[in-house]
Amino acid sequence: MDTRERYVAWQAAGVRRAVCAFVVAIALSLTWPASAHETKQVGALTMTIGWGEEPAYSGLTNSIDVTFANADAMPVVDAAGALTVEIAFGTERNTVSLLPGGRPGLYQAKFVPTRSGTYSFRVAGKIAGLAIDTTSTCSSQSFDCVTDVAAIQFPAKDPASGELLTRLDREQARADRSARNAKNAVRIAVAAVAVAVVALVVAARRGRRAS
Amino acid sequence: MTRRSAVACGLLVACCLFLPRVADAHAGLQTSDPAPGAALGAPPNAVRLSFSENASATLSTVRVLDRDGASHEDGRPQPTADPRALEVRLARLPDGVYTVDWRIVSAVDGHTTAGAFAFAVGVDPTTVGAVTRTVKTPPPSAYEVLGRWLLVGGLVLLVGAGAAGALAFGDASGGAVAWGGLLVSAIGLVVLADAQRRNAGASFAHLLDTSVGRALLWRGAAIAVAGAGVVAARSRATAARRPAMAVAAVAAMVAMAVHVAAGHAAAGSARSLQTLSQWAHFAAVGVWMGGLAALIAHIRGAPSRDKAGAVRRFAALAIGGLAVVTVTGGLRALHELKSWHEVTDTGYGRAIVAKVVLIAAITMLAARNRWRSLPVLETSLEPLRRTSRGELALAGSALAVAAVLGSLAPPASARTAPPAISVSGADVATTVRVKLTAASSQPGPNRFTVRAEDYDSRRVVGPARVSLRFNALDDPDVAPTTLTLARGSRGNFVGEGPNLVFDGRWRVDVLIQRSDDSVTVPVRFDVGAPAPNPSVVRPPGGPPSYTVQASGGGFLRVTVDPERAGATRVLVTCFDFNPEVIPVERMVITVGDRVLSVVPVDRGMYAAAAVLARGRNRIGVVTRTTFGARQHAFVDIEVP
Repeated sequence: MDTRERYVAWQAAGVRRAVCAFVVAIALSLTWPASAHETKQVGALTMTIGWGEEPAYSGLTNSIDVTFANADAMPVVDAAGALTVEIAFGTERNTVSLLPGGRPGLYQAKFVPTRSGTYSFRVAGKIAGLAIDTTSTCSSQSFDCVTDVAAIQFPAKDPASGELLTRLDREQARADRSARNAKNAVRIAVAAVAVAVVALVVAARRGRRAS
Repeated sequence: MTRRSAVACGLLVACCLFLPRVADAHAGLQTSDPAPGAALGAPPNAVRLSFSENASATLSTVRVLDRDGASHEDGRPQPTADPRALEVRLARLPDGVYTVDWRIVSAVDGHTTAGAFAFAVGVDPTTVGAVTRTVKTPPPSAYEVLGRWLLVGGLVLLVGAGAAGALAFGDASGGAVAWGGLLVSAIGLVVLADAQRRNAGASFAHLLDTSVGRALLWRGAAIAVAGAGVVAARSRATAARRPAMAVAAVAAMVAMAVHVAAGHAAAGSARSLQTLSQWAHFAAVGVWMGGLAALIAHIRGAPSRDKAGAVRRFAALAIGGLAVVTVTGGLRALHELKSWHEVTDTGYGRAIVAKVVLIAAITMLAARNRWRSLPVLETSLEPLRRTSRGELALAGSALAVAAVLGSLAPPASARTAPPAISVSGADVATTVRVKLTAASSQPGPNRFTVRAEDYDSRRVVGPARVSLRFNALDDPDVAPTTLTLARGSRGNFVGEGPNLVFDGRWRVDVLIQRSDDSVTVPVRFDVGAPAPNPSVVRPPGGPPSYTVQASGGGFLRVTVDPERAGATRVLVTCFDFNPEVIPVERMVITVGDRVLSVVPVDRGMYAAAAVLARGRNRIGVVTRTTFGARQHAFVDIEVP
């Protein structure tokens, strides 16, 4: 294969790579978690739920944003409505009120997610005379799960206060354990010295008796 | 049923229940080129598969199929310089996804292992599929185990009868034990040959043309010589009987040696020692248990001084046999089993435990004979005969377990290759230690395993939810992806995904979420080929330039001006084979972990201010050409 043929082959390979890169880009755009809200039908209303700030990072103030729209896609405003949202993280639960937000049909509950991971929101109560009780969980199909804030820290990645406290507790426990082990080691050493002294005395007496 | 036989039956049933029901892989796939799930830019010329045991090229099949099921291999698999590897040449593959469908017959024991994996050529790696690798090993067939049992059992009887005849504690003409051993071993050999032919799915002629078949022929020849010895001992004069029986015993031991050389002892590390050890084990069982069978046949009827003398001669020999069986069996077990987990969790380990229990029971009966039966030999042989029958029944069971062991792959040969990527880390609060492993170090679909342990106690963390967040450090414009892992065996979390899309440096944040808490452990690793050797040009009076071939095509020339520790400037140019400059749309230049601020200088040239340290500095470059291709390369520069 001469230089010209090699060049043509390389250019053809370049086109193939370009197509490949395009397909990869399309595939990635389809598989990446969407920074989106989850929309579901609740009776006659359409409910949309998600984070106020997406992506959501641990340790940063955020909010649960819930909007309601009727069949005509008009926002549902109900000043007398009583809505709550139960935030679940693992086995931990916390219930807060959903309050009207900055635009019609928006209800918000502000909070700081302090840990990264999977959160579930259970919205319950009444709005426009309709009783609702629905749960949404973060996933790649709904809204983002919470990511460690270190991902966006710059220039230094500082540990969270919770992490520092846990580290202190751990180090304290390790120090206590080391102190206990040192005390036990001293006791064993003293006992060993005592046994050695007794053995020496016995040996000396036997030696004297034998002589 | 007497109490003793009830105990023996109970022991046998317990051992059978303890035996394995699943098979470990015999010739397990260790590595392959292309790797499972690989996304190749250019079609490979061949597929090379490397196994944990020698593979028979004649009996094995390797097919490379496209999505429509059409084959693309050019001929049968061929042996390579490495006896554990096979290679199949390929016709030129068009772009697409291919499945390598392999079925391997081990050249060591004739057992079959099959599996499949996929790779892609010139297409999106995410289309290769999440499940990149499957392996199937049929469990040992009862037919094959029967063949092995009969063959080894017959050889044991032959060795015992030969030793008894030669060393004067049994019938000098061999008697029924020798003839029985001859018949049983011959039947066993035929059954084993037929079982191995069925395993390989080949004709007898085809099988006999392989190393597995040749080992069968050699065993047959040795048994034929042993048979000639037995016949000679029966027909010749009395003086020639003992040498004839010695020939029969030696020939049976040679058959045992060939049997061992065609088994797993000859396949792993320290082959000579292991083969010798396994052969000595079988030969000692032959002298001990085969000799006992010949002795019991010899001392029928009333007690006599001659019979008592024969028993005492055998007793001295039996102690040696027991010692050799124990030492060599221990050596083999220690060689094949490397952890308690392999003893309890693998079929091979459980079979060894069953065998140890049976040997221990035989030893107890032998001790009973020594301390109770031997002192009353002159007056009664019945206690000796009764206890010895129990010993022989248990020995038959132990040989059956040995036959099962011969049909199973030892965990040592079933161990797969170490993971291509293995990184560890801990969270800031030092609560959890995490070990992340990946099956492949290449971009494309991969299998990830996470083991999370408490930092202090080293106990497995659980119950927990584990997910991985992948960040391409050399491609800061590519958004992270997430993979949630499922709970696997032994406290590990496993998952498969095409998240490592590109070669280069990656940071993976391992998120471990427990009931009321979560921790994130970041770990970093490189994906793709090791650093290529750059071609370096040092013009007099000018800065040196380093040229490397980039993954994704083309070349990158990195110039450091001036090449010194401290503030300097890095210039990167992209060009093709001609060399013509390739227009670049975006470029990321990194020095170590720092991403530099780049400035376009020309169509395919970018510059960046950098600070280099003394010693080795790794400069990484990722470009996006104007026609969308991604190029990646890095060079290691030694700064004086």
